[in-house]
Amino acid sequence: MNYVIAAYGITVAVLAGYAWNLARERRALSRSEDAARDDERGG
Amino acid sequence: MSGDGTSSEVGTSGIERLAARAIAPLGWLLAVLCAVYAWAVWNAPIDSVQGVIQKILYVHPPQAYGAYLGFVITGAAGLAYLRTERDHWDRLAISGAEVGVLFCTLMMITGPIWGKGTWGRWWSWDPRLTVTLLLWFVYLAYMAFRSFSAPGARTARLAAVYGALGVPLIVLNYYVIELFGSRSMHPENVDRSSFGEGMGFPFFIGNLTLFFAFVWLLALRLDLEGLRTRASWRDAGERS
Repeated sequence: MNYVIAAYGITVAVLAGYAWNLARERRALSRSEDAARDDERGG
Repeated sequence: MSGDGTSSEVGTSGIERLAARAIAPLGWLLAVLCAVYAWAVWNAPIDSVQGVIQKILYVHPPQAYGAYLGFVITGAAGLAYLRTERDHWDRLAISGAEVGVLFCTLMMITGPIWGKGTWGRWWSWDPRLTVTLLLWFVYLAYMAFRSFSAPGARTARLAAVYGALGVPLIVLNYYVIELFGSRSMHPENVDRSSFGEGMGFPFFIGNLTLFFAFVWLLALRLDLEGLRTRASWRDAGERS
């Protein structure tokens, strides 16, 4: 049973961690892009 | 970089717009599928030969299919880039490679876990395992090349050729067990006869869930690649 838990646990942890990392960077770059767009309009 | 014109045009290709719009609905679909998947695996019958460890069947082959799909996307998108020189194909190629390497890595983890539980050892230089290791190295090298090379058309062209040349290994990997016959320890490719009663549904749900996990992660990664490209164009504009 431990092997099964390890296989599924590692799969979930790795995929969720990767997704979270991607989402975090997307949010940061989106905010940066919005700020740059606002600067262009304001400037 | 050729093919996208200006920074504002990066991320506006049909496939990138589709990816960006699909992220939220795919995420919700995946949440539902994960719940069904967990229920299906929990309630799946216990194999009379291998015992409960056989339930790794519902996660290991789907990871392999995800790896194959990622690498095929890398090869196909790379060839499309070579033909059209449109940068969105290159962004798709690198996204496919990264998500493919992720699934291949998971396959290389869950496979030995299953092997330890059934064969008593983590690794064997079995033909399937050896070719899978080679496939993993090939696309890890692709990722290393992309990370350490300066972005631009030359890098994209070299990567496209390399990524496409790795695809025949997928076909070899799939058929290598048949080629080596009884000399392979790894079980034969899954078909209908592989399943006992009650095992077909969890296997189907496992494949469906991991397929949509792949597609969702690919969409996220492709959208991120567009954002990164636009950010680098903005930075270049600020420095000039």
